[in-house]
Amino acid sequence: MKGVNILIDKAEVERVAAFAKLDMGQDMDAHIKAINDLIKIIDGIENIQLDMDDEPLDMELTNTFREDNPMPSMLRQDVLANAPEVEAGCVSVPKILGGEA
Amino acid sequence: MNYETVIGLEIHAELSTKTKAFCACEYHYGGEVNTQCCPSCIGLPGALPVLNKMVVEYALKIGLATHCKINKISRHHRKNYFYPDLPRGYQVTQYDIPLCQDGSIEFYHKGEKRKVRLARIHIEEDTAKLLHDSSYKGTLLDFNRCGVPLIEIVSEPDLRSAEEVKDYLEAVRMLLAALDICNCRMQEGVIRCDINVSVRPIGQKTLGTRVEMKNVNTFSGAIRAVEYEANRQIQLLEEGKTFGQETRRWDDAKGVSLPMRAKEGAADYRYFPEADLVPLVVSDEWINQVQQSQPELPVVRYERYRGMGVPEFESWLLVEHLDKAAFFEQCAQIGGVSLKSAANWIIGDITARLHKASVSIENAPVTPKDLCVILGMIERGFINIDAGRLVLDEMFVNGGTPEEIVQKLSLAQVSDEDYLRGLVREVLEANQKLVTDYQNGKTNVLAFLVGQCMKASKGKGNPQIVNKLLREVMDATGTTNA
Amino acid sequence: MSEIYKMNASELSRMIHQKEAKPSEICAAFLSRHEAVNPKINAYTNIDSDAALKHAKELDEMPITAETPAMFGLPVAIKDNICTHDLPTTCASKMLEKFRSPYDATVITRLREQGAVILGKTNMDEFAMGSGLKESAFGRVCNPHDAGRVPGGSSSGSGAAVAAGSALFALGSDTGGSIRLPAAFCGAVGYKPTYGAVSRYGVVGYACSFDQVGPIARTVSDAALLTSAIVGHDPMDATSHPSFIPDFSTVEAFSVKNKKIGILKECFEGVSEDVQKALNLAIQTYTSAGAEVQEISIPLIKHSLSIYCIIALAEASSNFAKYDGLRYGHRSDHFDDIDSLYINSRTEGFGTIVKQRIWTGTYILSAGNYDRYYKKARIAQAMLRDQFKKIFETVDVIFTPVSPITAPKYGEQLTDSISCLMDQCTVPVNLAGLPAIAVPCGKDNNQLPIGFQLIGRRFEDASLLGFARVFEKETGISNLVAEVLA
Repeated sequence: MKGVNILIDKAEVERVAAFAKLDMGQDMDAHIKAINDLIKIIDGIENIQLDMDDEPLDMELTNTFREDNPMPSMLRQDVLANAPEVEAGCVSVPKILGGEA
Repeated sequence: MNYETVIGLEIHAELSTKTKAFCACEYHYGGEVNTQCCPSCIGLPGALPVLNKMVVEYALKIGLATHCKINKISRHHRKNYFYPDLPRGYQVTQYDIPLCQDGSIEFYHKGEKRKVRLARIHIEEDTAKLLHDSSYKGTLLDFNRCGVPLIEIVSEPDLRSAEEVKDYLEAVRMLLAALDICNCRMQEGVIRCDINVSVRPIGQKTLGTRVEMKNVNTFSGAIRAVEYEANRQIQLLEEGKTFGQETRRWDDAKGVSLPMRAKEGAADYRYFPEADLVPLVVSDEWINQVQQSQPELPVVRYERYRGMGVPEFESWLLVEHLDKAAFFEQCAQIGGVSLKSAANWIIGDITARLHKASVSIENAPVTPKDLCVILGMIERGFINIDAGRLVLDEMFVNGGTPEEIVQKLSLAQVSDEDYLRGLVREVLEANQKLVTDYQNGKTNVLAFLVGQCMKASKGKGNPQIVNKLLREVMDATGTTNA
Repeated sequence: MSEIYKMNASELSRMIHQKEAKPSEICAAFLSRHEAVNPKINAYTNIDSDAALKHAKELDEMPITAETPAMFGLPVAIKDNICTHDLPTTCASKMLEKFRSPYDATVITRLREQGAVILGKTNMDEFAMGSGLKESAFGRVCNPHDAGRVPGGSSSGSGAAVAAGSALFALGSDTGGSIRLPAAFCGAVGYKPTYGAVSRYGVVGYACSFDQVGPIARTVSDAALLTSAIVGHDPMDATSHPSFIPDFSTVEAFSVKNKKIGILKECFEGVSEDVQKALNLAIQTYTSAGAEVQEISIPLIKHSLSIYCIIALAEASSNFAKYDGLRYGHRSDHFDDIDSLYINSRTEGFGTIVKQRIWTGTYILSAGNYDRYYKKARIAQAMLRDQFKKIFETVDVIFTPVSPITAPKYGEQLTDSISCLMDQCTVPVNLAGLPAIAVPCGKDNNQLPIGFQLIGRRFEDASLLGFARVFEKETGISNLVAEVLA
């Protein structure tokens, strides 16, 4: 896995796709090729001589706050307008067992 | 073998700002489902977050109150995971640079002062509520709670027992209440915690394997969870079994911790900086300004009251009830009376009558000055305690000043010894048998006889003098008989 | 009078103000041009002619006063990743095919307030990912100058519509060149403002750090006109600059005399002969107008695509997590539980390129890779910003091609190095948050437009447009409305 020229194989594509909730099974070969092309581009980062160790913060703009003043919320019908399935004023999803993540 | 339990807590507390952390929606617990949300908090395409300044201010209050180092520059991160309660697919939180870190919270456990170190306090947002019911076709999503500001207070593993956890949680709750940054309504789940528990043989230096318990929503649940989990781990160790670091879910209804449903692969939250927000910079002026507006902290107040002679129990009650504490403070300012009695009367007699009359202490018919007058009269022996209570009763029913009432009801205490000796003789004559008992050493009858005399004086007799006279008379007759 | 659809916005605005033209006439002219050319170029995803015309007719009835905004009565086409409450916002993706935003983006609110007519929503690369080389869920957009060629992307529909005369001007969004590339390929002016100048609220995000809305227009003045209507602080966008408003009134009289133009060496690699010739002429135009020209170098430019991809894809992978089939967008018909609902909805809803980029962004952020990719990219980005800052101590503006080649044919296999070079001139601008403009400067042997790019100092958008306007005035090259041949 380590080293500059790692090759992303099917197993790796599937492992990472699971985090992204994607199924890359269809057109796997095309995906592997395209992904490795992208990896080649991002691996180019190895060729840069970095002149600092810590990730810098972009301080061009800071502290863009909102005051604690309420504004009207949306109407429920607008909240639900695009929902594929609605029940009892709520978005409905398949039954979930067990607790929170 | 004897074991020690080692506990660390991550407390999530909802902040009581008027609007949510990153949008201008108001949030009221129990509101109609999906009526307190907007494009930003439900994650509509294109909507963006903007940080509520008051959230930072509230977080600074708790940070300063817990002696944290305030990071002058901090930032927000995204914690990425898919779950239906998370509309954007990520939670905005703080990760590598929290607003507050390296603090401590002091509290009392079994009368002794303890200190728990804090690793950090950071700002994050709450998630949606999942509604489960067998009558629903699916699991329903109510987005009202999405984006409500939370602070997460992360302690070091400095707690050693369930009882200590309880006292620590109480201390945190009291602190949040004193700072007025959380409504602390436990029944609404505004304070929740994740608990890290490990056990180790007493004397062992290294920590045992840590288990994290999520979903602990009440303080009593926290105690049960710690006890259950510590026992479970000890039992495993006793049976010679090993176990790995894991996350379990506390089921309070069943009183058990259960392993979390295994997801494909381990969780990978892919934290990275939230580029829809800009860095948060806290100036010294801002810190000073918050520092100057800080109220007195509960432990400090408690210790001050103890220093004023108020007993432990009453001191905590005053700390807990700031309205009563304010009344007490005014009495202390007027002075001239025992503050121990003042505290006692406020918490006992006055509170009971307020409760009965359904009146708040701010609107009580008795002012701190009135209480001081009443206590002064008692301490000087002008009226007795019972008469003092009658004065209170009268003030609650018909009003008036203590002086007027004492006069009107002729409550002034009678200390005239000749008059009282007459009453004592009458009472003793009617209770010859008790006199004999007393003379035979059964001195506990004295209290009854004092009561009889007080009754005969219609409550006005000075009980100390009555007591003295009773002894004098009985001792004298006893000697004669002997 | 020439045909309305060939005129520029500044002229039409003047005519409305002097009551020589009515908003409804103008709107009708563009709608009929749209009907004529759209079957060939497919620039729009959704257009509601009746509603647009109805709005324009309402504007006809309103009095024209000294306070009437310059935008009043002018039709604007909107890239389909900018939220409108009255037209679908699809991002040209199956995922959002039926999505209708309940709210307007801030830029849309501002346009409406000033009496602009929202003409329709323009086609684009799915979720703004791409260079207009592939078709979206709404089909392929064709280059009006040659229907067999790509329009450039990702604001492909906006570029094509402006060039074909089916839009007067259009809003696009630019994450790594998505306004400038289609402008160059289609022969229009494309301007990406300084990051933070225009609100992102209601703009469906690709990469938060880089996305910026801007105009594709016929002339530099038109670009300034449209930008003036949308620019300025928005309290709904935390990255919106609290006070910056460019003063475009200085654009017309701007002089390049004694100004210094830096020719950025690294961007001229692989440039085709025709393009080079046109660029040389453009440079000559500036020297004749009194500007000083010097060659400059920013070595990190060579690596900018790596830096850009890491940050943009990481942000995209997270931004696109909200498309989960729960609250809106495509929900698969095939699922047994919540997890299969997620996976099937996302797998079916996203196109191939989007999936591959989400995958890569997820990979970049996954355990162990943050330090290896993301952190390094942020450091390199800061270094690049510094290199730009240093260069801007010696020059006032930077000159580059937009792309080394003109619009390629659909299906033409580009070498890896050419497709990388296509982005190499545009992405550094987004990495540094700078303003940049693509300006048409002629055509190649195939009669395809060529554009050059000017990059300005941060917040010096007005003088950037001033530089561009000087070229336009000196050469008369602008408003390359294509005939759209069959």
